[in-house]
Amino acid sequence: MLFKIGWRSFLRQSRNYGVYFICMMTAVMIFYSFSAMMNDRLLTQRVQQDIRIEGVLGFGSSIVAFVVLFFMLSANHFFLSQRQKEISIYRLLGLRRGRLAWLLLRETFLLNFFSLVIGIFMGIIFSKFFSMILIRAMGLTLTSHFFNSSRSIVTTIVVFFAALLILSLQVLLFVWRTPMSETLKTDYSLPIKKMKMTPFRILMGILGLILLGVGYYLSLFLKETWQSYITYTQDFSAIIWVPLLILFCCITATYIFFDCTLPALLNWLSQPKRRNIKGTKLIAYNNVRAYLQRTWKSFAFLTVLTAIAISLIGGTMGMISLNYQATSRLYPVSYQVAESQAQQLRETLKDNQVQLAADQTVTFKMTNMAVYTRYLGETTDNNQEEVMVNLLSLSQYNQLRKLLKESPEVKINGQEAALFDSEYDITQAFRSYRDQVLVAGTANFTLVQTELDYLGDDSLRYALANVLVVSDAAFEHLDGYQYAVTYLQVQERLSEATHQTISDAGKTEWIEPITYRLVKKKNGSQAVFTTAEKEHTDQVTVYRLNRADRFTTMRSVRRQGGIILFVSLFVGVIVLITTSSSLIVRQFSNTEREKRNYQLLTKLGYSRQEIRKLIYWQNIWVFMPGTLLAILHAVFAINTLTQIIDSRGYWVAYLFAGAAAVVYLLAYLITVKLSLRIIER
Amino acid sequence: MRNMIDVKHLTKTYGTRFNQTKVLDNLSFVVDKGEFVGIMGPSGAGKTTLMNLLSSILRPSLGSIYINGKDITRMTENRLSDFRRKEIGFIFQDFNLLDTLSAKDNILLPLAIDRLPIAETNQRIAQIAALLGIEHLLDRYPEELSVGQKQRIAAARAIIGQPAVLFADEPTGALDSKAATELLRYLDQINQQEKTTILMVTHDPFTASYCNRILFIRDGVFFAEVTKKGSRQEFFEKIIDMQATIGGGPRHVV
Repeated sequence: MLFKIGWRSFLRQSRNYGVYFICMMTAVMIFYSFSAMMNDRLLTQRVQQDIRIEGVLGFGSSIVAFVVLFFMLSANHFFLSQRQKEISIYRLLGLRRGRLAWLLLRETFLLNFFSLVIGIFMGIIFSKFFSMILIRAMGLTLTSHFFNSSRSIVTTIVVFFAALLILSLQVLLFVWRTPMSETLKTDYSLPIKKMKMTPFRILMGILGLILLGVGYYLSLFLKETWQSYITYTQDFSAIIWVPLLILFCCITATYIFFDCTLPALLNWLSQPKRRNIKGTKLIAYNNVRAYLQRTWKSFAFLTVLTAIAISLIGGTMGMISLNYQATSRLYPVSYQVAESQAQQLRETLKDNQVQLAADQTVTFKMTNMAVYTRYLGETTDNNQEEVMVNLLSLSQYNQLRKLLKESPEVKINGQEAALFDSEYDITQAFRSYRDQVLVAGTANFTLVQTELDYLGDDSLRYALANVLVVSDAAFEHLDGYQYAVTYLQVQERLSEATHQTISDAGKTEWIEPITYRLVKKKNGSQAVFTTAEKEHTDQVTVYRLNRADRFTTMRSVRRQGGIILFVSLFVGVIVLITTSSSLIVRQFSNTEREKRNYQLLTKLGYSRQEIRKLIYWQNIWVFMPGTLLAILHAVFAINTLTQIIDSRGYWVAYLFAGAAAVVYLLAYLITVKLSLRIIER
Repeated sequence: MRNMIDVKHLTKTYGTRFNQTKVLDNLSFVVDKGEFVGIMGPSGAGKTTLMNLLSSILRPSLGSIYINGKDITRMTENRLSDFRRKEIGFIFQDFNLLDTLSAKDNILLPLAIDRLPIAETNQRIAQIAALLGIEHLLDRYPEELSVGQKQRIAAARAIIGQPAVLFADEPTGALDSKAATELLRYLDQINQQEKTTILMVTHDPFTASYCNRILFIRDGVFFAEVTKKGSRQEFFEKIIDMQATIGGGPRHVV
């Protein structure tokens, strides 16, 4: 009998449980698929030379498990509080706590068990689809297949039961710790104090906006803020605490926004305007305001969680893209080779029927350079650095430029020079070069251009961070150690097997050691080179790499990027699904509770259209502010990241922010449609 | 005197073709403008169904209902909404106030759709608040009000639209005797001063004694009618006698 009563009560919440079920099933499906891919030997072995995908997938599935556990606990707590009336009746009828807990646990187990079974079943079906996406994202030439891993099923079941155990503890705690007097409080009470817009609450609302403004302003002008603060105080800790301050401002502002700012705005909107009293929206504004007073913490948390998810995806994609760009820059052509070994490579390519599209040899001259730099916060140019540099003549640079599509145009005359710095993309925010440089202790040049290094792998150039492009005459005139690098571009995209054969034909090694030391001259120092072994401590011996090929490195980067993109997008999707499901479930219960109010409005002469309008409007105000705020937070967070690391990959985060907007829009439409059905039933 | 409510052969049945329950059976009566009429009868007599039919919440199975000269049984859903908003007012046993709105906003609910000018609504609110003695309660939320105060707010909401008819379904059912007497006095005032026609369903003879006329129904048909002649005390005695005859028995002992 008790079971039947419990079952009926369970069925009454079927709509809420339906949303929970779909969400859990999706989570189980993704978790299982990740686990199945981790256990897919064919896939893992195929990519193990570049990346251990088990690690990334394992990390991703752990995050999925944590997000879902949080969702399970929050949904379970919500369901329990929805059934408080029923629980209180059982307690009044003298049902022991143990039996009551068992009654509730049985339903929880049943619901979760079904989502587990169907989730695994869907996982088995969809794991092929997911691995297809992964194979595509990693650029693999591999046929995906149905992979039914019993180990993955066991892992999923074990993790799921561990989560259920935690859930059971929550149910037991709820039954044991909630006093009888609390369970008897069946109707929620309206926090009247908060409904009244006191000047304090309005001030808090304004403070929320100010905090948000401060956070956004700092994120927009992060670099300038760092610069001015450090220049003024010489306190470099700002590099850490300013981003933390931005985070603090935005999170605190989000909480205040939902507690005070939005209610104050809604209160203002519900006031009579233009000499007319407010229409139906008056009810919507006040309902949302009352709803917010009870759930502002959840709203703020969901908003922050979504914003963090979008920003993390943005950050990850920024890093992946940066890595991709940097690698592409390091390996701009198919092969870079020391001139002494270029002929051998040409012959190997010819033996393998590989046609060359371009073949360019460039001569560098290694020497020393004195440069004045100014670091962030410094006001004077006393910081002189003596660095080794590769000189390149302008004519050779222009020839090479035909191969390096991204390299910029250099315009120099006479004693002018252009500096190519391989760390410029990261260091430019902190370090700037002054105009004058002294090369080889003899010649002064004016720096007219500073660029990122687009000239390929500097390992072939004795691993020196800088290349200085000077006029042909200056290049001829200056002393230094001269060597050459050959850039070869093949005509067609080669197969992996051909690449392997070509790679196997030549060994990658460090060659042509050169020893130098700096000798003091009248104007400065000058590097003196020798091919002999290092004899004194003030001498430095450097080597260079004999060859570098684009294919192997780009393949590795592509695979690493692909798996990280894959995992982060799936984790992001789970975050979106769980957050929107939480909102939907809460809204359903809210509508059930307010059903009587809508019936009253019908009696008071509100037409069906007006009540529908009210539901649409009310739900807009439930879904819209959080979504907008989360996207706005994410956009500013990505902007902040852009200032720290300049990358082209942030578009994925914007795309994901768009996807978040679409998911919340769908959640809104589902909620409205089902709410209308609840009311008009 | 003009007929405000004119009910002809009203019949309402529930259930399927094979298992029908006739709640109201061929009921006809007339209520004049400005009358304060009570409907009494034992539980299950069909009082609430009658009220729901008159207020257009339910549609009759047979018969017609004219309110203020309009046949509400032939109106479309949208016209019915307009009709409910403009022609009738409601007072419920459990007040039915929206918790999220202040007392003033609750009172303004029927006017919210029509978006009347603030000056006019303020004037109406002030007038009604003075009539019902609720001026000091307007900014409070329902949770801050006593049951008697809540019902007065509900009464204010019912009459703010200046309805032709006011329907009251057991308005004193949830009130203590002091609050009930107070509300009934206010209803009497509304009836006298505003000339509002009131139709009230009640179990309670004391509450019914504030009416001018009582219609008794039993098992869906008219049983009797008692009209007030003489003092309220005499009318009250008559109602008790009639209740005893019907079998419902007196509930409220004065």
